[in-house]
Amino acid sequence: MAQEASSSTSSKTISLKTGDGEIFEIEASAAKQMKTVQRLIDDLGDDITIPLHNVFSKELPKIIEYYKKDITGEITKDFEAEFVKDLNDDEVKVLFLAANYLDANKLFEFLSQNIADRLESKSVEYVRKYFGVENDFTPEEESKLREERAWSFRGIKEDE
Amino acid sequence: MTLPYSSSAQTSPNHIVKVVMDSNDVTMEDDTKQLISAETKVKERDIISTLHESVLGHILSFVPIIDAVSTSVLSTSWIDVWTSTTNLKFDDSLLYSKKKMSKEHFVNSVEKVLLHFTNSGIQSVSLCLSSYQYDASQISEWISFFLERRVQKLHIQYADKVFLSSNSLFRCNSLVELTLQMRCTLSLPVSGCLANLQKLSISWIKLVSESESSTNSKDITLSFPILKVFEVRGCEWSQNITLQVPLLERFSIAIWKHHSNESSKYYIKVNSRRLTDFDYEGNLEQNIVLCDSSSIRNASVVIVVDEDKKDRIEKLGFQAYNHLKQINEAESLKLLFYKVLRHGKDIFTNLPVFGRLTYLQLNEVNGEALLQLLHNCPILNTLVLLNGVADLNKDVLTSASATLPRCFLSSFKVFEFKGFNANEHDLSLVKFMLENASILEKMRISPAFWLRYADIDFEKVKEQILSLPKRSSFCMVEFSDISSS
Repeated sequence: MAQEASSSTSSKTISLKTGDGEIFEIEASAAKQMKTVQRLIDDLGDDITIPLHNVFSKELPKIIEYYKKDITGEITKDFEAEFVKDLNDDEVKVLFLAANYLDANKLFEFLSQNIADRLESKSVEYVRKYFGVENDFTPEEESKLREERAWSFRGIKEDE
Repeated sequence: MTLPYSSSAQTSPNHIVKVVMDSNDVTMEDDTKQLISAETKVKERDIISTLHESVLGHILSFVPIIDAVSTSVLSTSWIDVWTSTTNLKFDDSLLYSKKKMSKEHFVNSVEKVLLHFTNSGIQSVSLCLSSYQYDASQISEWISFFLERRVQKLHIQYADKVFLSSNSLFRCNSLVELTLQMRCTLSLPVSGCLANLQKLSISWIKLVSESESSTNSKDITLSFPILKVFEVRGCEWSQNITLQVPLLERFSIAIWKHHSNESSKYYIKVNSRRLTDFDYEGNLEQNIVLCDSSSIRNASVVIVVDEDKKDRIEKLGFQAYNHLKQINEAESLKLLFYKVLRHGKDIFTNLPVFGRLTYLQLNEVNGEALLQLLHNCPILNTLVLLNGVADLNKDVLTSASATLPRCFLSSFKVFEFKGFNANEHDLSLVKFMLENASILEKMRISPAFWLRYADIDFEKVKEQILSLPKRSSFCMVEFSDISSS
């Protein structure tokens, strides 16, 4: 048994602890896809539970699900569509931030595309709220800029 | 992808979050809990806004550039985030106020965007123009602009006249992926090279030679030292072209313009030792020379012949042989015919032996041709027929039973009969297979869609087939549901 643990990483699992104290297991090969996790493993060793302060128990299972499919090479367009189908914009954002924190490139790129698709038809006000951006323009500055860039506003309806 | 976020992990907002979360371990009053959840919401906002611009800007690279520009009004720090995108997507079919953007509006927006990139590189550009006809020089200008920006991925879709300068094209050494779907003429230099190109896909382009001499067109040599995939669809050429593509793995060519005889006078030579996939679609008139085809494992040949001229028919068999002998080491072959059935048997007067072929797919074939093919595929494992057999006369079958194809005795295991017509020919073929294929394991019969509406009692046909004598004792005969055809 000891031999197995030291010779191959493929069957080894890594323990991850979320910011809200829950522990999840992932395969070492999936952990490799999350560069932040891999860096922590390199620093702390693969036998201890890796702490992830900025990822929580709501989103980590979804991320683990994605990478479980990735290591078996089963990620298809259908799978990705299904993966985000029932998530609202905020849930996708949380996953996106987590993927960024974990430096999980494939998921990060996929979610970037998904967020871009979701925001394509949204108003400026919605995007501001979504990214938590404070509007620090004066009304005059904003209207001047809007006029200058009028050609780039596709007349999207203001939404709720 | 940069990771500025983790470097900001040590700054105070995160630290405060951590402290707040740790105190969840202790039981608290309800209102304290509410306060904490409100605080974490605010902290979350701060986290997002402290995210480095390049991370949020990354999302913008997935959005049409025109939309990305409008993010400049989000806040003062967002004014220029869109300019850090290295991926420009232009599409003139985008809606503006629920209607298609006017041509002037589109041209104006493209120009305004390009102004911001005059002094910087662009990594990838996609220019899809399907709504209007533009001034040819305007489009050429834009294309030159992209090429001068050291672009790596370039995708252009435009069906109207444009002048494509091969000079600026071949000077753009940064190109890794190039897709041109354009009805235009590209004049090629006598020798051109793109050192970083890995994928090239051209459609509808007319390739001519730069050198003006009309009496003898100089041969052209194009060198793409790391090209892996080359797709040519609906193009024409008027001189011999040699492709120096030592690492090419996939070559796919489809020729659709049959009334132009120009292309058939000249060859395209593909110089690669690593070719594994070859797809051809055309009327066999063109001369596609594969310098080393021994590594080809998957091939597809789609033959479309329209004409009825006698001399054409005579040449067909010879041309077919030339094309097929180049791919005789394939392991998987799809051989499809359109409008050529009349001349079907002539194509197979001369066939190479496919010594490695284990998978063969045919769409329509007559009995004689099918048997000739089977004889030339000694280790065939799977045969798929998409449309049944055109005709299968009894004499052919009796002589076939006398000398069986070698694969019937040693390797033929799977037979998929799609588009089964339940007519005399198809039934004879099924009977012949069952009686003679000694190690056949599975026969799957999918009835043709029209059988749903026919007067034929398919259940009876099934019974009839299942009661036929089988040479192979472990052969399973399955039928696809008639309603799913």
